[in-house]
Amino acid sequence: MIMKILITGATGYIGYNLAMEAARRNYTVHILVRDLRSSLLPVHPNIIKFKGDITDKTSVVSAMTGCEKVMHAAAIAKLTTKNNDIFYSVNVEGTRNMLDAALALNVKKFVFTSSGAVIGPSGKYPMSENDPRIAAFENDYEISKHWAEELVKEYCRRGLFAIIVAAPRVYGPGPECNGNTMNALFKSILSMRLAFVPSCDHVVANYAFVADVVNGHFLAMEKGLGGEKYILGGENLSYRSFFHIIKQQIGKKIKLIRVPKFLIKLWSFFYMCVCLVIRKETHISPKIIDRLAQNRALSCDKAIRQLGYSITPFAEGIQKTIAHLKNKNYA
Amino acid sequence: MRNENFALITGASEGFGKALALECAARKMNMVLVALPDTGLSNLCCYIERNFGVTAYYFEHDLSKKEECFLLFEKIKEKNFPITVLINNAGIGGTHNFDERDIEFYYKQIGLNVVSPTLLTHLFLQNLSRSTPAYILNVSSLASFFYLPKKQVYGGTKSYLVAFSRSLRRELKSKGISVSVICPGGMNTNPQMVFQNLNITGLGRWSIMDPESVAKIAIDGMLRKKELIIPGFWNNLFMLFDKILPKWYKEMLTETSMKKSRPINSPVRFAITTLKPAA
Repeated sequence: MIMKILITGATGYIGYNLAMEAARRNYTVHILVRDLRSSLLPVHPNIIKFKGDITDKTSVVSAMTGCEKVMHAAAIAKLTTKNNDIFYSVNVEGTRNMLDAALALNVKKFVFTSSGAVIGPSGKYPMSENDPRIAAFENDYEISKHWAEELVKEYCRRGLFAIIVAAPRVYGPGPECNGNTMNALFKSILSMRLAFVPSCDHVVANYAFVADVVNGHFLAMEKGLGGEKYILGGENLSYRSFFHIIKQQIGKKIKLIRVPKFLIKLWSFFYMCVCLVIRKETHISPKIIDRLAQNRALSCDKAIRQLGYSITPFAEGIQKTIAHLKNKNYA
Repeated sequence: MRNENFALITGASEGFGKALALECAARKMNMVLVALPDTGLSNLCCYIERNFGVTAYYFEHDLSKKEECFLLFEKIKEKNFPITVLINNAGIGGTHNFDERDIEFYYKQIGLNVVSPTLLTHLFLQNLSRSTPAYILNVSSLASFFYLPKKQVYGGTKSYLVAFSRSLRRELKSKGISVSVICPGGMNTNPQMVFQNLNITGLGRWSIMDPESVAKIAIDGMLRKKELIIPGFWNNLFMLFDKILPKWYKEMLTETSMKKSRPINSPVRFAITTLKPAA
């Protein structure tokens, strides 16, 4: 029998890859999209498009009807927007609509895509699922995803079989959309001879290859325990090894110039001011530079142990990403 | 040599209390943490022990109840922990009109903010004087100096802590116990507070601090035996203004600032409905 699955956020970075993978796995894939003619739509004979929006409950119900499984990956995945209330109406209330519908329609499995941002910075060791958050929440995005997670747990107590998965900085082939910041970075490195990098060599963060994250979603759906959270990450790398590996894999001469953090913060401040004046949306602000200079190491041990999750080595992931970007003529 | 002394921190599960626990751990203090049941203390203790190599115990009690304060004392006595630092941090906040809450709420607030620190200090005094130098840190608020509307009972309880601490300090000095009191302004404690703080505009926003940085100032001040700790540049500036500005001008400032403070509307709704326990 053919299994039906609803995937939200299918025009986004992770959601697109989830939809394509589900289609490859012979699911009948329902996707809920705001614009049926979006250039970012995943195309496959198994994919059925539904027009709607997670903030609109009726469209959620009609797209979910008949589905045994749901992967909810839709979210406002940025750190700032013009009106920050949208983080709450989409990420929290949209998730509530999804959960409500799933409970009413007797969905068997519900996988919610959360973010490493909810976990926050790390201490001496990589953070795992049970570790407490050690620094204050910083922005509306983090809070909205945290509240969405709390909501998912609440619906689990009400009887929904839901699993939370958390992805950190994700890279790898995928559509050129908003959430795909890592690829934007690689693209700019590919086109440059000179790159300015912050001089905080020792700062460690986690980088997940998108194929691993997608695979992890399906593993969580198969083997995950209800109400549990699984970190689907990749290798923990210091900036030094991060840039070193990228340089090796690009195979072209790039001079990396290390700049002190305060100078980058100063530059980001001016850049932010300029963007404010010319009304351009930007992700860059001094606060985000601070964020990038924090350790954000994660441990995927739980997912590896309980789900059989596996991590693609960063060098291999980068190789595939660069091949993908070169195919699309970015180099 | 391994540090055998313990810090007792109340209200340690979230916000400023958690930040104080992490700061004490970073300074290699062992600790006993107290908070309400099921607030994540076991995970916090695991994290602290693994990352900092100190001993961290926890007890889950509602300190707004007198019996539970006694119970906590008995449990700690049983374990024979030498407590050299007592941090009375647990408290109930809130900004609302006096008639908006029933009297039970105020009893609970006074119980937790006033009675419990008084009682715990009384109970642990002997324990503290046994291994000096010892420290008591009471967590008050800037609201103890500024008589803001909608902070009647809260401000009152926090003023009590300032008076209590400063008087007790003079009494206990000869016993080698230093009493400090910290008065933080707005802090990014829990997600709900951060959410509200993100919506503050103007000067108020600049004065908001992260609990991590306030905790560092707090423990520094406590160990240097400071009497009154006001963290942050802006909060100190407010205190200075309070001293030098004429009364009528201050009144005007308070009134306009309270009018501007964001009422609970639009997105806050998400927070409140989200945090409501399942029916």
